[in-house]
Amino acid sequence: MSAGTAKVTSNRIKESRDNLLFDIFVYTFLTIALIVVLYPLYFVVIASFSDPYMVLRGDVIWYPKGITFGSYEKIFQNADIWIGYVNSIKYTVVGTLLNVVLTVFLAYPLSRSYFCLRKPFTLIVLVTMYFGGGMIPTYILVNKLGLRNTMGSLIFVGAVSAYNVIIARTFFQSNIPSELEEAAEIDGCTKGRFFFSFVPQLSKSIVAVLSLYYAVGHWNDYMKGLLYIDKREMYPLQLILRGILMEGQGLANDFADVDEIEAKLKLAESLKYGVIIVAVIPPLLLYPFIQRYFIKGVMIGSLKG
Amino acid sequence: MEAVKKSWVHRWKKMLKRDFHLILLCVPALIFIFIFDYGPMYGIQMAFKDYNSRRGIWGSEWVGFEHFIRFFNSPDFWSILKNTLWLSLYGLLASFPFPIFLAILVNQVTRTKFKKTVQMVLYAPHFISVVVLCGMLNVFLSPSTGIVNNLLASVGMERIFFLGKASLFDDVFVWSGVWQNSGWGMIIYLAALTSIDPELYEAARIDGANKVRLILHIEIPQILPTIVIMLIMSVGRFMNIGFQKAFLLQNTMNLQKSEIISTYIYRMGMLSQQFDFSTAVGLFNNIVNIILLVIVNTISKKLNETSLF
Amino acid sequence: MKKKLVASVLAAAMVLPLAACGNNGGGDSTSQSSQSSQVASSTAGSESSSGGGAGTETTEAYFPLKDSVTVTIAGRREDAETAMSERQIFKDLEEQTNLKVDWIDWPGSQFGEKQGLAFSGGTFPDAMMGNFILSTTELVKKGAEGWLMTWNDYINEEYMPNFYALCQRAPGLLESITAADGNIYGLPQFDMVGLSITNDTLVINTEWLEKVDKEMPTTIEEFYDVLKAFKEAGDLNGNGKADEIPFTFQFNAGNNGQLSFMGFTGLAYNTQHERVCYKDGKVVYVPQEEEYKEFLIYMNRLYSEGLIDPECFTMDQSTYNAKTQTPEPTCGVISIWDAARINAPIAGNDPEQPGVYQYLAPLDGENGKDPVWIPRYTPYNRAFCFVVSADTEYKEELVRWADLFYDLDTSIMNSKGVVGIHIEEKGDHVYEAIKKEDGSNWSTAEKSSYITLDDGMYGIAEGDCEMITQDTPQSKASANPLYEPYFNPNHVYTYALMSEEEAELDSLLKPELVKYVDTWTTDFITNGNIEARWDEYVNGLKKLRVDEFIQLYEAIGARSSRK
Repeated sequence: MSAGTAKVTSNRIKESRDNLLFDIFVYTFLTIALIVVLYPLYFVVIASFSDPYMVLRGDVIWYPKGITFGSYEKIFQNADIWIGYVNSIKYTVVGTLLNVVLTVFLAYPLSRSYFCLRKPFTLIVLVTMYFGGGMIPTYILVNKLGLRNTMGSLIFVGAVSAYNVIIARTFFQSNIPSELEEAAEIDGCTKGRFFFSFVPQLSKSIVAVLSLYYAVGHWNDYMKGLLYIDKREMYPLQLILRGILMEGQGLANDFADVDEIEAKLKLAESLKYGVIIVAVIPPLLLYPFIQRYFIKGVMIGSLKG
Repeated sequence: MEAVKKSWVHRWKKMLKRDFHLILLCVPALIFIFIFDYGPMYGIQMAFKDYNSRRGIWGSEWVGFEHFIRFFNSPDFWSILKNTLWLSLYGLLASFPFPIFLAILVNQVTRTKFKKTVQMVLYAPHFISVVVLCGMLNVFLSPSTGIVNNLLASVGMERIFFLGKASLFDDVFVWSGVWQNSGWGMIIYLAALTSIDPELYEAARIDGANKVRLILHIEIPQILPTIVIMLIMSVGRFMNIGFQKAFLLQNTMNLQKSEIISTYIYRMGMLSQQFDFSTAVGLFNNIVNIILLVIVNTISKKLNETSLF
Repeated sequence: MKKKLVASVLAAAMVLPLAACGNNGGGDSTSQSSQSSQVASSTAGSESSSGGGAGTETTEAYFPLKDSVTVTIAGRREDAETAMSERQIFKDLEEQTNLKVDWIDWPGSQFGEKQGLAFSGGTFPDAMMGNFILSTTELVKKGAEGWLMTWNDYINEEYMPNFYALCQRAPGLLESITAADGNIYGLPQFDMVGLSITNDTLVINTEWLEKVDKEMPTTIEEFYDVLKAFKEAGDLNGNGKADEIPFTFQFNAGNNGQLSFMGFTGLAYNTQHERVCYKDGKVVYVPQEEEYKEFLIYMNRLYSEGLIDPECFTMDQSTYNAKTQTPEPTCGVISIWDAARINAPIAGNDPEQPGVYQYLAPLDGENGKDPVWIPRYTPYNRAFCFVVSADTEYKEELVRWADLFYDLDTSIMNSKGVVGIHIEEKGDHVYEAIKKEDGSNWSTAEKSSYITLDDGMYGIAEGDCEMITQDTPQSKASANPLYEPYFNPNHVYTYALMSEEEAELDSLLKPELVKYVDTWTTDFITNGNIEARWDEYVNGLKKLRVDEFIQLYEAIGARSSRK
């Protein structure tokens, strides 16, 4: 073996040993992270089936104690919860669609360094991150526009999040550089065609991220529902769950039965875990669909060809 | 003169024509922004008025900086401000690196099942409500019955009254936040990592780079713009510490360190329908945020090309 | 079938006030059972009212309205209860009066925001109804701003005969609901029958006492000895863990706190955040008095020897309940509402017997002063339940409609239950609660499909009726005689409605004082060094304008003097 090949071989061996060490490190670290995060999540599940006082006393550690289905009974007893689920799904799907389209349409031009109105438009967007009228003027506006008790109030208010626009803009700046556009133009592609044909292919992962952010935002929202919706049949899920959870928080009352108040408080204790489980399932189910888009290097490679 | 002016107008007309399609794309979003974000903005004047619900926002009297003065003159103002700033800073420093670190590691995993599981599990805590999180903290950290202290005791260490020691409040507050949100924060970096041109990897491998080098010389530089923007925006949210978590973890033993701006104004009964005062405090928070944002943005512009504006 | 019976029973119940109004309250012996004749006679307005106003119509002739009227009323209710529009009583009432109500539903979990928007967002209804519909300070403030109709001209025999009669039976009522500017902005909700007179009580584990061979302590030194014995005895509950806690309470809690315990010093403050008391005839701020220092020194002594539960400062209500209500007792002395709930989970507990935990009488401070205990007093104006918009066109209709609820039998039905279903009449206005068919108690959610409960209006004065309850040695009722002799004679009552200026000063000073005292108290009890730092502490109070605060409560205390 010549000296040259020996060096290359030894480098290769070193390289694969380094890589192996690194892999061990990666898997070990992630496994520890997994365990550390997993235990409290597991705790939420077992706590939702346990006697609330035993949970509070620290008796519940590895498995449920004083098993009770009380909290789930209470949650599902409420017929409105199914209405809430359906409503929330509706609002989330429609809302997210609107959000993503608006955001991408706004972020893309802002990412083009040659765009003549780039600075003023960016400023317009950034200002909204810091200045806002607040709950009352927004409510008055929604009222005036006749949007109370309509889906519009839930999806139009906050339809464009400045934060998300910035994230998307950054993504477009890095991943769809002007060179690409220029190259396409040379091949005879108009700017418009570029946008509608190429950009979607290249933005799959950012669209996935935006969809996730907006969808979770809609799913978790109870405030908009509280302010703008009075009709029970239109309530989003979180509002209904919050109602169930806060049942036990009635006012301390001289005339009320202290026993009943305590019973409600106790129920609220176990309910709060059950409520999380019930509300978190759709977002958890959604995630695998999003994960698909986080696969290395699919986009650009296919395009280059 | 005429010629110069004419050419300026002429240039603009040309640019607008060229970018017309881009402008068109922006219009729908801008309409929503103007109606729903700028429409209600007149409400900010409440920070300078004595709000009378009967007279409405426009009809209420101007009182200038009265609310701000009242706020600054509160007995504990400086300690409250200090607590808020410290929690923010500590939180930022502790929580910023983890999502990036995790994203890079997860991106390295090739066994799909493990990869997917890790992502799901790390992402889930984000959905736990603040109330439940604080409830769990109370149970786990209890000096008498909590598992953390039971573990400590079983290895012969002393029990720690986590929620009773003012000096530990910031640690509990910040690290529980890291636990809860690192998996969620990881998502954007994963997306950025997966968009890196594979050719770059190939080129580097041919040059003999091992995994660690790939990360240091390819991945991090490639996602640097994302990192920088996220950092700038985090600084831009500096003063926005959630009220609920601090409020739930507060008690008379740690109040010196756990009272922050938002819990303070709540405690003083100022939240209940004293919209003018809370608007003023919110405005103060935002001004501080903007100042910090501008500073960091300028520094960033000087150091590299990436900046918010 | 059952529903029909209920409806007709309700109809009968509702009919009574229409027929009986104008007569002076109680003692009406009209039976509940006869129905149709009652309905007929009332709507015909047969009975003329006595002592009625000249000229204007009496309520019975007023309803049903000739031309139907629709009003919007926002109704506050608990989330679990039936919506107002679904409740039987309102349906019946609508039929009887021809006053239609367009209900705006305000469930408790959304109440704060929805009400805030009603005032600020321009969607104010004709009236608002429900328990604590406005706090006393909000009531005065909104009233002064011009939102609310004043009731002064309507509280008389002509417009509100029922309420007026109630005022005669409850002296002090009118005064307590009148604001400092002389106006009455809302109607109160109260039930003065069978109220508890204590907040917190102390219970002690008698089994542990036996095990350490001690008697019930009567002085603070004996108390100290007992706690020390509990601590040193080792595994008192026999579970192998060193989890015994000699003394536990929930810091600053009304019913589970240390507030009354302080009474051994001779001084104790009222249970709200005012923390004032009379001393030598003048109002003092208790946390700056010598007695408070004495209390702190004693508590610090207990704390530093590990006799007090360190988590007393950090526990929330639920955690406290879980700790104290357990089958395996871990606490020696507990501050609690009643002994029954502590004893209930313990195996072998017999509710008819005194039980493991028994009431501990107030301790003697051995300082020459009589120990005191904090009494529980419920004023008439504690909860306002009905306000009418100053801009509504239907003032008279709403006034007369509201008055229907203050008829005694209607009040009883709405607050306690429908006779025959939820309660049984055992004698003239003497009632006992009935259980459901399966032996369990009626829950408020279940009752709410018939009646208003606390979401409506009612007023029951002392002596108007009687509720039979089972008293056991463990119940609250048997604790009362133990503590009553010690009730603080210097208690400052603070229920009088404050003027706007007073309320502003109060909201400016009180939260700061509360926070200051709480943090210092916690520090003193846990870390001691009290004598050395006392002056610094008191100076801090002066800086927080405690003297102005005292003056404020001197005025309010004088106006609230209990009759």
